[in-house]
Parts: sequence; C-alpha cells; structure tokens
Amino acid sequence: MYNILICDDDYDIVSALKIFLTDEDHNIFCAYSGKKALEIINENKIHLVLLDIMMPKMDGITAMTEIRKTSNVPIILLTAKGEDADKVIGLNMGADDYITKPFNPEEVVARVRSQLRRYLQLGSEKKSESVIIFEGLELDDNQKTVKVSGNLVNLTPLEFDILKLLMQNLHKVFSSKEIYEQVWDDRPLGTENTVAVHIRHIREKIEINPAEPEYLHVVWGHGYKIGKRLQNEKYNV
Amino acid sequence: MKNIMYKKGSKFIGAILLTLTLIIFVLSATASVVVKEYGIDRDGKTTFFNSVFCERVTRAYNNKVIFEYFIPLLRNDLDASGISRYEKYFSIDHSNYFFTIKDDAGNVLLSNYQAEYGYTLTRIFEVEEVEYEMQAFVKEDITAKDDYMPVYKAHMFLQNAYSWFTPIAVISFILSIAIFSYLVYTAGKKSKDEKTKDFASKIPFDLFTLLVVAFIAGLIYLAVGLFKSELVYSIFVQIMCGFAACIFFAALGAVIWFFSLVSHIKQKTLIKNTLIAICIRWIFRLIKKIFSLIPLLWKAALVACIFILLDLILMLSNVSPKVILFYFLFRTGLAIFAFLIILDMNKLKKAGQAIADGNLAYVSNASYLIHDFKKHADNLSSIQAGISAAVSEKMKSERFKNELITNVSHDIKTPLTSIINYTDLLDKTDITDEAAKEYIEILKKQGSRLKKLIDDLIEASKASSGSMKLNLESINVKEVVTQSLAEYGERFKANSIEYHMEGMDELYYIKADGRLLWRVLDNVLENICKYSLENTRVYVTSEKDLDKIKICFKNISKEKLEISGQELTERFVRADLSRNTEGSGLGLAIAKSLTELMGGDMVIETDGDLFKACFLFKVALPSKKEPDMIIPKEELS
Repeated sequence: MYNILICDDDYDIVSALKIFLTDEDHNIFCAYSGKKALEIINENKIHLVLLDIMMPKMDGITAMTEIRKTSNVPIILLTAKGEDADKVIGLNMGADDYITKPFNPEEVVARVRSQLRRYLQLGSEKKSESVIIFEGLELDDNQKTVKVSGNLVNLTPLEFDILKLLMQNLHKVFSSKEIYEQVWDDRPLGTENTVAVHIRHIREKIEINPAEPEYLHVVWGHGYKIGKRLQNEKYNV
Repeated sequence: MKNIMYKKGSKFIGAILLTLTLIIFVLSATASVVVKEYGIDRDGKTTFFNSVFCERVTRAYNNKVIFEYFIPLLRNDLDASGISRYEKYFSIDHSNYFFTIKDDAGNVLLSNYQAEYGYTLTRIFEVEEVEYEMQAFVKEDITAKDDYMPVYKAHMFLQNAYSWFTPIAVISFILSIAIFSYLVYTAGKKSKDEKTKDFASKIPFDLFTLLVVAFIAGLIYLAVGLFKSELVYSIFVQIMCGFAACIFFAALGAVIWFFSLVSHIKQKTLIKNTLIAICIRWIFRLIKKIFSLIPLLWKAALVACIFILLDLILMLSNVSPKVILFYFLFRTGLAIFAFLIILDMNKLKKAGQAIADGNLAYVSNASYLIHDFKKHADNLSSIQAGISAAVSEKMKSERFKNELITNVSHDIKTPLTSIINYTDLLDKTDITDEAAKEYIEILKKQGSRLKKLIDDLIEASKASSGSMKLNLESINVKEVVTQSLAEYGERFKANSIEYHMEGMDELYYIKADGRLLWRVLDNVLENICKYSLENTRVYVTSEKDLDKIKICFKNISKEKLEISGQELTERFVRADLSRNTEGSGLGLAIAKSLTELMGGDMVIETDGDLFKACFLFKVALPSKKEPDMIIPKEELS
C-alpha cells in the first residue's frame, strides 16, 4: 500500500491509470497540473510520481525540477512526444524512468512496481561479496540466483553464465563470438546464432518490455552489454 | 583657437609669413655671408671704391660714355643739344663719375674732370683701328644722385648693419621653421581629425606642379631681367620693388606648392590625382570596354594572330642574341598568361563542381578573374543563388510537413492512450456476451495497429527529412544480421519460416549507424514475417563487391506480387492491394529512407513470387573502438 501521485492534464488517462494502480492496492492521488502535483507532494507522503511532460501552466520537467529540490521520490515520466531530446532531458533532470504514450497498462504497472521495490527495499539489506548489482538487477554467484527488482528470475545455467559475464563487465560490449568463447569455452563454428537466441531469452525474462530493454542492451553490429538505458535509447521513437 | 588654426585664411597668412621669413632668412644669411666674403664690415679692407658693386657701376658708365657719347662725337653724329645733355649729365653736380679719354699720343680727347682722385679704372678700346685709352674715376664722397648713390647706400647699409645679419638670419630661420611645422601639421585637414581637400587638390597635381613651375620660372626670368637691367637711379626703387615682388611671389608659389604636396601625401592622393594617372585610368577603361565588346572568340583569335605575327617577324628577322632573349621573355610571359588562364579555369571548375555536388554554400572568389571568366563566375553564382533559394524553400516546406506530422501524431497519441487503456479495462470486466468480447478484441487489435501506424508515420517523416542524428561507425555485418534474426526467431517459428545465412564473412564491416541499421532490418524482417509463404525459407546472403557490401534478404511471397520493387518502397504502398493485412505500408519506405540516410542503397526486386530486398553499404575497416562505452561519471563511481 503506497501513495502514488498521477499527474496528467488528460482526465481520462489519469482515471485509467488510477484504476490500474488501485487494482495493485495503491493509494492514488490525482493532479491535473504541475502546480497541483507540487502541492500534493508537499502535503502528503508520496512514494512514487507518474508525471506527464506536456501540461499547461507548469510542464512536467519544471515540476520534476521542483520536486527534486526536496525529495528523491521515484518519478516516471509519461511522454507523448517520444522525441529523443525529451527523454534525454527528462532522464538527465532526475527522472527514474519514462514511458511513451500510447502505453500498455501492464507495462506501466510493472514499471511502477519495479521502481517502488527499488526505492523502498533495495539497498537496505547487506549484500555479500558474491552479489553483483546493477540498478534493479541482482546476480548472486554463490546461490546462482538472479533477482530483478527483488523478484527471483529463473535462468538456465548457460543464460546465467552469459548474464554473469556481462554483469562482471558492466558497460563493456561483448560480441556474440566473445560471449561464445568465454561461456561455452569453445571456438564458435557457425553457432553465433545460439548466443543471440540466448540473449533474446534472457531479455524476455529480465526485462519488463524486451523491445525497450532496461538492463541488457543490443549494441547493433557489435554485440551486447549491460548498462544504462539512456545511452542506448538515442534513436528510439 | 583650434578652429582658427585650421581656417583657410590663417593658413594663407601662414604661407605668406613663411615666404617672408624665408626670404628674410635667405637675404640676411646671404648678406652676412657676403659681408664676410667681401670684407665689407666696418673694419675690413674693402671700401666702397674697390668693391665689385662700384666697379660694376663704373663699367656701366664707361660703356655709356664710349658708345653713347664718345663714338657718336667722334663720328659727328651728335648735335649741339646732345652734347650739352651729356655735358650736363656728366657735370660735377650731377655725377660722381669722372672720365678722360686719350688717344695713343696722350692727348686728352674727352673729359669731364678737373682732378684725378678716387677710384681709377683704365680701359683701352679701339674705334676703327685706332686705339684709345680711357680712365674713369669715382668721387671720394658720393654726393651726386647718380647710379652710384643707391649702390653706395646699400654698401653703407651693409657696412653699418653687418652685425645684425646673423641674428636676423637665425631668428627668421626659427620663425620659418615654426610656421613651416604649423603648416605641415594643418595641411589637408579641416579640423584635428577631419580631412579636407584644399583648392589645389581639385586640380590634378602634375598640372598644378607644371603651373607653379611655369609661374616661378616666369617670375624668376622677370627678376633676373630686372636685376640685369641698368641700375638707373630714377627707377631704382621701382626696379627693386618689382624684383622683390617677383621673388616674393615665386617663393609664395613654391610654398603653396609644397603644402599642396604635403596635403596630397597625407590624403594619399598624390599619384591618384595626377593628370597622367587619370589619363592612364581613362585609357585603361576605354581599352577594357572595347575589349569587353569584342566576342571571346575574336579576342582569342586576335591574341593568336599577334603571336603568329610576332613569330613570323622573328623568323624573318636576323636572329641575334637580343632577339633570342626577347623571344625567351615573350614565351615566358605567354606561359605565365596560360598558367593564369588555367588557374581561372580551375576556380570556375571548382565552383561548377560545388554546384553539381549540391554544395550551395560554396563561395568562389571571382574578383581576380579575367573579364570573361569573371562573367562566367558571376553566372555560376547566380545559378547557385537560384538553386539555393529553391532548395531552402523546399526544405522549409518539408520541415513544415514533418513538424505537422509530428505534432498531429502527438495529438493523436493522447486520445489513443485512453482508447487503449479503456479497452484494456473493458477487457478485464466480466462480460459474458460473446459478441461483446469479440468487439473488444477488434478494438484492441485496431488500437495497437493505430499505434504502430502513428509510430511508423513519425519515423518515416523523420527519416525522409533527414532530421535524425547519425552516428556512423564500423558495423560487423554478421553480428548485426545474427542479432536481428535472433529478435525475429520466435515470430519466424510462429509463421513456420526458417532462415538461412550464406556468405556471411566475419570480416565484413560496413559503415552504418547500428541503431538505424537495426530499424532497417527490423522493417524488412517484419515485412518478411508478414508476407512470407508458410513453410518456406528465408535466405540472408552477403557478398563483397569492390568497396561495397551487399546484404540480401530473399523470401517467397504469400500473395501474388503485382507491384514492382520500385513501387513497393513508395510510402503507403502495400503488396496486397486490398490493404487488409496489418501494417502501415510505410515499412519499406522507412527502410529505404534510413538506408539512404546512412549513405547506403536499398533495392527491391521481385521475380515471380520471389521477393528480394538488397542493401548496399560502403565497406569500413573493423574498429577497435567500442561504441557505447561513454559512461556518465556518476555511473563509474
């Protein structure tokens, strides 16, 4: 039961989101302008903000800048424009995530859940040496487990090894060939395909939306890496 | 005060003063030198009687006596009145000059004196082969008002005032220097900062110089004439005044000329403002005009004729080393001229090439070109300007169109979000009616189709407008194809399509933007998924062709292909004319636009049911640099 603020100038969108998130057993606050959102945040304990960028009076970016002055509550931006520049600005100005309109309700719910977990639970526990963490992604080498936003994910041993290799070398790009050589410990002979297929599977398991991955990115024509979402989203529409 | 300094009147007064001081300086300096030289100072040995001045006057009187008095008397040409006139002229009251003429026997023939005293000058002369001796004397005290008087007075003046000359010379020199500096400073200036043209600047300088020189020469000639004329006492003052005026005006002319020169130098118009320069300029302009009127062909013919003529003259003439040298110089000049023409041609070629390449910002430097080439360059630039205007107009409308699409799409997206969301909510409610469920399914399907359509529309407009950022790098063909196929693995399986890679060399690298390339392949594979006949194979091949790498996707179409490959890449064209299947009809258009944006080429070929999409990209060297390695600083910590 968390307090979630939804801010959009479109009444119907706010209502729909309210319905989806109430189903998740959250307490919903609604605002239809940036100013109103700031008032609600000042008066209530808010755990997460869903914020539209294009609003009259005070736009989402301005409102977010104001919020960030006092709070580090997770903010998910709702963007209709889908322009790269808007996303980059949004993420740089302190947003934790963004969702492009028209969005899939399931995806919104999943992202909200993920952000809440990360904000409220992660970081509180002490992690052992064998655990590698990248944002919401957690890999425990001893227990051979992978958690995404605190949820356990089932991976095959090969998938686990691939993910481990990538997580041990955050931001480094591995080609299919390199991954094959290191994980299979063999020379790839017409089997690079296998790596691509495995990666695809891992992404389906750990990502909320595999087409817009948060953790495991395809670096087209070079390979794969685990890293920040922003840099890989340059041309996404 | 400042303003008075720059006034024309004060300048003119300055010029007059300068002239005066200069004359005074020259005179006093000359006088002091003369006084020293001739020892005319009070204690010197030279007296008036043995001075050159006295001697000159005596000689003049001698001549007068001999040629006007004695010889006519000898020949009996003189009547009584004439004799009495001369007797009076040379009487003791009127003359300080005495003479006596004797024949060789010693008899006094003509004389006007009683005693011999003073300065003596003896002259022997012949009249009709008879020798005579003439003696002349000057009175010791000059009392009579004859020609001696002014000279004597001048001599006395020099003698009395000799100690003043040097100081006067110095003072006048200093004064003239001061006035000179003032005039040099103010010459050609209206005020401290403002420049002006004085009256002399309006006349060509060389003409002005000529006029001044003529003026001065005339004055000097006059002055010399006056000086050489006999020093008759009665008009002595007039002569002297005339002489002084001549000198003064000559000096004034020189001074004005000098400051006109200074003014010209200051304003840098010295050469420009001469009559010669004006004439040369005018002639040059005339030649240029005449030359420009002759057609280029005739000009070339004329030049060729001149060369041939010169060659002919050379051949016919006796060849001497001088001629050979001339010939060599001539040929060198010719070579330089040809070289210049080639340079000009090259400039024009570059400008033309720039226009052909679409570089409309290219600025050719036409200012140093030969006349006809310059005209051609001007034509080129006007073509350039015309194209540039047309292109920018086109760009403007294209940008407007794209902005329209982007904004409209954005406005559609907001209501679409609600449609999708509420359809989803509707789907979750308990509906028992089967028909209602079916309707909801249709809503969901069409909602997502609309979403895809809008996304495609935006992407197509962006891709065709070229407003996308490009990040060209070396892309491994095999890697990217493998990755793309892996993305479509499930969907291929669902449609019972197999894929097969051929000729994929690990060392094939192309120059492309990884993300955009994926969008291209995404669209093509999407197309393949949608339109491939089930249970067929998709072939992905690559081959190297010189500096290009060709990647081809081949599949068998489900439907009969009735449209050419060319048409398939047009926007909103779809192979199924009924437009029933999902898809926006933009996929291949987007793929083509993006490919072209990356400098590649996309060709769609259809052969029966065989659908072939080929991409040509430039070969790149494998890069060691890993992309996406730029990590924000806070990320590293």
